Amino acid sequence: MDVPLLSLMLLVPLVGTIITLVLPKDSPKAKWICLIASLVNLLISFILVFAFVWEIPFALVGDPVTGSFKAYENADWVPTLGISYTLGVDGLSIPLILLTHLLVALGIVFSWKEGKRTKEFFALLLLMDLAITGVFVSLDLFLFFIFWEFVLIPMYFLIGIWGGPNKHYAAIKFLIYTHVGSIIMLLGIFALYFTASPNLTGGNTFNLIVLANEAGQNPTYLGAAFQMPVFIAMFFGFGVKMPMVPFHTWLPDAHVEAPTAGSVILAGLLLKMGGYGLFRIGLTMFPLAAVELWWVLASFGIVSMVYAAFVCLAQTDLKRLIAYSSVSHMGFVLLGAASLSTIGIMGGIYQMFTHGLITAVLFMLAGVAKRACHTREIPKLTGLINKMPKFSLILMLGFFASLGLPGLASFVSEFMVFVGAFGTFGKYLIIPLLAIIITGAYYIWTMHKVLFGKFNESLGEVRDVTGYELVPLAILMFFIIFFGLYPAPVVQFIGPYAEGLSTLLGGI
Amino acid sequence: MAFLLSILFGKKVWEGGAPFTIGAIGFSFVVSLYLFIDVLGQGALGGGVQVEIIAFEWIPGIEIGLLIDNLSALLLLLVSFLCLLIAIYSAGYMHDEEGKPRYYAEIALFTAGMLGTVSANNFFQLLIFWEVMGVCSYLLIGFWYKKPEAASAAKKAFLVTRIGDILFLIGIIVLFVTFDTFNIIHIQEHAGDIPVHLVTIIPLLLFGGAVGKSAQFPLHVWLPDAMEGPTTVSALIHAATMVKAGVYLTARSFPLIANSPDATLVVAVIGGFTAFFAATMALVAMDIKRVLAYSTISQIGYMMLGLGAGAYLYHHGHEALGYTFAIFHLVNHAFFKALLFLGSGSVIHSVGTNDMRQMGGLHKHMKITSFAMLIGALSIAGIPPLSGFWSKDGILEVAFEAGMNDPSFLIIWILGIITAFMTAFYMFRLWFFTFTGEKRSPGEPHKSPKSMTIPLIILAAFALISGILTFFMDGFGQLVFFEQAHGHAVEEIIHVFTNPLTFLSIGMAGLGIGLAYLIYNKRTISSTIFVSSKGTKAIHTMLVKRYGMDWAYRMFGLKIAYGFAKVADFFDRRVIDGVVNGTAKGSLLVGKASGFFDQKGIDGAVNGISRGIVRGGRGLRRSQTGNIQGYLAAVVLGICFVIAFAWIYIKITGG
Repeated sequence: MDVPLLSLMLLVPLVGTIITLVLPKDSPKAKWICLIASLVNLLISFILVFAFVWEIPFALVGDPVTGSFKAYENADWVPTLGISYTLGVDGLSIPLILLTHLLVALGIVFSWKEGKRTKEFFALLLLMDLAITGVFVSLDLFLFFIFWEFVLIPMYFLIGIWGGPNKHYAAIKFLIYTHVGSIIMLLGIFALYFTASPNLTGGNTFNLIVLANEAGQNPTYLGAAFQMPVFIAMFFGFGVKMPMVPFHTWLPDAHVEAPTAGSVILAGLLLKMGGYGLFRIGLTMFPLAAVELWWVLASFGIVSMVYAAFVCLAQTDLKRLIAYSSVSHMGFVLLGAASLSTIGIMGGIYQMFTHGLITAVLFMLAGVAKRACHTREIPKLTGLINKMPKFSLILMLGFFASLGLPGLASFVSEFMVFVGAFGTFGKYLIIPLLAIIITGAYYIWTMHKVLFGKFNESLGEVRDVTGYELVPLAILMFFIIFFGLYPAPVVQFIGPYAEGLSTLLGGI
Repeated sequence: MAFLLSILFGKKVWEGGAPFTIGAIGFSFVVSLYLFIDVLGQGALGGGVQVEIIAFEWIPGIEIGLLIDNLSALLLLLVSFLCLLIAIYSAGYMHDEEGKPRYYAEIALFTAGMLGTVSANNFFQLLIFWEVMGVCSYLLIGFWYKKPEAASAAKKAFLVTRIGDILFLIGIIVLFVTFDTFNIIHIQEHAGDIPVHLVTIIPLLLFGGAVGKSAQFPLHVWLPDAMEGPTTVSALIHAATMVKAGVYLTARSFPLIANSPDATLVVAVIGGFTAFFAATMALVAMDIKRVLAYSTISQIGYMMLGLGAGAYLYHHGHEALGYTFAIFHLVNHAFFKALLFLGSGSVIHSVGTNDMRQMGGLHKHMKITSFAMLIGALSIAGIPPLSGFWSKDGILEVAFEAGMNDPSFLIIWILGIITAFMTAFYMFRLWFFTFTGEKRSPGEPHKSPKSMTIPLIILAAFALISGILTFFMDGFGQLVFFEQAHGHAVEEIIHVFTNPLTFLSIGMAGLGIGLAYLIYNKRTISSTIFVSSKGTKAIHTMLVKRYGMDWAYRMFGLKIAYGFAKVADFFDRRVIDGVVNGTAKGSLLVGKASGFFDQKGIDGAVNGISRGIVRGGRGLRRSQTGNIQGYLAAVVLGICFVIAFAWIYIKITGG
């Protein structure tokens, strides 16, 4: 029996959202329904993972063309225009799908006490789950773009309604900025549809598998004159989303204003869409351009890493600091992609996964600081270890994880990226390594200021991390340590994918 | 043999509590002892043992496992023994402190890190445990986190060693790219295959990690400050074990270093210079622990010198004697420096201050401590037959021999000899200051508990005999060596005492002790002569200020790095975001202008569309504040841009 796991995965949050929205106002059931829906989705993604590992047939209808995608579903949608409803997962999307459901579920738990328009808040979180999952599972460019744009809407409202004092500015800036990026990406999609697809397949299609297979057969199709500009247009769209310097300024504003769960999803998942797109479409569909333009990717990656790390050093708002550190860490993804090598690509993808876990912890901690101490200003937060031991322990671990300490998750990914990058760039690697030192400096400095020394009495009574906050933090910390010590469970998915991609790129 | 020491530990770490930690470390000591005897038994003396235990494949290409050979068996034994002694000592020393579970948990985790470092079979695993030690060191220096100095010192230690760690990390990456493996044995065996352009840089990158961890010049600045931690921590981590990890790493990369004469020279120069440089600062320090800290830096410098000079000689076809003596010195130094630290801890515990100016005349109050420290001081000064003599003398001899081939090593040797003099001087300055003369401390000094004095006695015994002991095993060269065992006890002793160099270094040590005696005990020479004339005063001030290097680092961090960060932040907020907002505003103007033209009805077709959008914008403006119209206009502009781009594009490609 074939179970359409992926469609189910999209259906569950949709139904959950609808039920939540028709509930009476202030119904206490709302958040329970959302939590259950997100947990069901998490369960489905675990089933998917295990089905993938053990090759259980019921969940895995292989892709008829190459068999490279699992849990494949295909139905005609608008056949005359070559639009189809095609879903499927592979080694690239599995870790990200798992991450999505994990972070959404934990984000819901973390926001358990949200008092303002509770019903809508949780419904929107669930809607985010739907949209982001859609991006990661759709294999039709048209469908992909719909989900890609759909993501903006719930996030816009999350920032615009539940945000901080400057929320309108931040929400609009977020929407317009990333939208401009998407429009230019859309242009690239049109180019693929109108020019590339007839050339490759003899007809117009949005089906990504068909396109990618043909591009894989003939990686230099239409030559650099076609591939380069289209790749750049797509890359711009992904780059804004990631974000890369200098197209990153929407991110700190959006983060500072967004509610905690919004920040978690924004940094943990939305940014990953950029990286995902880069691998799924950018490198796969335009191998020639990627090989020609690796230095562009590398430059943007390195500039993002080093520049954002320096900006971090000057931040006084805890959340802003973490936001810039996200920019810096996403630079690793670009660098890994630019290396065009198996281990570098592996590292880049794994970095997305680990960064998702770690940044979620950090944003939750910033949320705790705001709730407990009523401020996120680093100069005002001092000596918290005296009053908030649990918070301090998790903050230390989280900061250590984020600065890439061996034994914690992100070290593995950063190390892979550097190994891949060294093979490609040689001694120039010293520049991105600078970022590691600066990252160490700003985290250690912040830790020093926030945790140690005398407690700032003007903060008044503060409380430590409480139950519903501790649960998601503890779960995430567990994963961060676990995947730091034993990355194989995730890397086993990424490995074959990265190998395939680097083989394709190496064939140019 | 298949005991996964570190994994055994990892699980037990967080349960805390002194008895538990002591028990766990005791267990690992028993295991190490068994391993050590096993290694001796298998290879017998003079033979090499190299057993690799592969546990499992971690991620494809990286296997986790243990490497047990003579070197790591010896160090496992040493580390677990010292950790055990110091954990017992802590029971007395830390008796009245808050947060003991935290302390013991961190000590246990550290022990696991150190044991893991010296038993790793690949560089990657080594790096992970290496960083575990680093974190424990960070946490333990900052153990008294309420004290601002302690928190700052912890921060400094972490950041400075991190610079070294980055170099180490690059080194490992380069190694991996070159060899496609992290496996130490494989890399050692294929050391000759390194391409020429990497042959010097790889060992130096690895050595960079060692420089950071072992507090060698120019990354030495963190260690004196690290003395803000509890004395037990200073003794264990910052004297006996962790700082030696750098020496261990250098020893592990010995064949890589020996590949390149340039690298050997760099290692030896850094080592020799650090030995000298740190000793000069020890001359003027007034904090008893800081004197010992500088001394540690200086002694590790000797070890590096030994390794560098040894690698140089090995490169030119000699035996790798320097390797043996450096490790020998590592072991001896671990004993006598732990002894000195624990002794000073005992003094601090009883007097309640670190400042030597407030001590004095303590000999009659604490005889055991006093004698133990005297043994330690004699040992470090290099007075035969105490342990320090044998190894230090060996290192100097190797340096001299290398100097016969290359005069650069001769300069280093001279520095080493001068350092020997200074070492004797500052150690006895410390001893006389503390234990003789007038009592200067307020209050009555009290005796230390048994749990503190017994480890002292044990360590003192080792400092006395650990040198001689090796001769019963036919010389240390039979125990730890590179490639082939060398030396026999009798020949070695004869050689040492027929060599004029030996008497030179003993003479220098004696001179140092004598001078200290005259100045600080008999006071026939006033100690003010050091600050009497302008020139000497300037030198004195410079030494007290540590050559201004701490200041320079601080300024670099504060002014340059932070200044640059400020500029970047400004750039981000004003320039980049300014462009973004400016674009929005500009589009708003364009939108308005086009709206104006619309209303004039210039273009009928565009008119309707634009008007609709502008109206929509106005409608939104009523409901929201901010420059939303600007953004809407930006959308309009963006779409126009897209259409134009598409049109041009189609013209180019389609046409």
